[in-house]
Amino acid sequence: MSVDSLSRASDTALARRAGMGDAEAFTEVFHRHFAPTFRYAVRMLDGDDDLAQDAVQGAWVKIWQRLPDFRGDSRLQTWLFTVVARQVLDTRRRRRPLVVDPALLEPIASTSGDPVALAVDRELWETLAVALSELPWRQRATWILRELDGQSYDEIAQILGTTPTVVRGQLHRARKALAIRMEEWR
Amino acid sequence: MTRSSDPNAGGPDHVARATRQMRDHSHHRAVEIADDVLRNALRASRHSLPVRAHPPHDHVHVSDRVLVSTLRRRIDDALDTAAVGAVYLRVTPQEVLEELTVELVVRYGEVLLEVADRVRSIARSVLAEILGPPAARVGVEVTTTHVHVSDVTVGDPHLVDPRDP
Repeated sequence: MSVDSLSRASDTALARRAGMGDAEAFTEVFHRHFAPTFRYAVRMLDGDDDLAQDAVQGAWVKIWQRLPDFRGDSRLQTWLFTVVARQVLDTRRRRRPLVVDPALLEPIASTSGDPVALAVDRELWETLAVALSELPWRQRATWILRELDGQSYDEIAQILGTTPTVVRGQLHRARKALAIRMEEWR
Repeated sequence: MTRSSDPNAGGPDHVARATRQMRDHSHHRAVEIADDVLRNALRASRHSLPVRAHPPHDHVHVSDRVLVSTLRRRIDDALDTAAVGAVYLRVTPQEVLEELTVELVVRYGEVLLEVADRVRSIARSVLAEILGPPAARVGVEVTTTHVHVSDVTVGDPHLVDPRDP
């Protein structure tokens, strides 16, 4: 199948082929989903890029090895995040204590060209990044999966090994904490 | 951290604004490491079982993963209106392939018997090439699942799957 055709294939069709050893289909899956998994790892590991790289490397090795067992009971993205979340949690348990890395505050690029708007955007980004890093682990994971990756409550519950009710509570507390933090910054 | 002079700063609207920025932002390190992560993942070996070739080459073992990937590729390449959904091998404790099942995703309206016969023929040919001619006598089961055609692209069994959300 051509690269163009692969780009039009559904996630499940690609997973089916990759599970049977098709490296090109796996590559397409990787390019679709790698960046969000890395972003999740970076945010959950307090901006430590090296640790995040170790975590996603381990996770994507497992994804390749376990794709033959993917049954399509959930969206592929949800299944991928389940593997990544476990690997990130393992990495966090083994890591040394650290403070928030300045890399976490990586500034965004200006899109408007307006220096005032850029300054405000930059402050907002920094404040949210720090506030996020201060959230408890589960609240942070829940917020990222919901707000940055668009997972449903049921999917987040599957990824984090909990219930949708707990997810709803964690998300509520996370949103409240972030809103208060942004309000304090005002 | 600098405080903003923006009188509207803070509060839920700004959480939403900063969230959008974070969602849309592409981390430069992700781009830098992507190729290495992908390459290392593809190098990792998957769990596999040995399958013994047929006499006189029965000292040779072939990974079941090689059989599955070769069957998938050959059948997918040969068929436009059907694609391999799964391949199952039944191997004896003596590592002899006893039975092969190919699960197909077939475009709605296809004549299943014709597709199944073609798949059996391809599968026997692949088994004979890899395990030796007697392997062509291994039982080949073919099961099918339809894909409804809503249009040419959506209904292509190589591009969609019955389990798609």
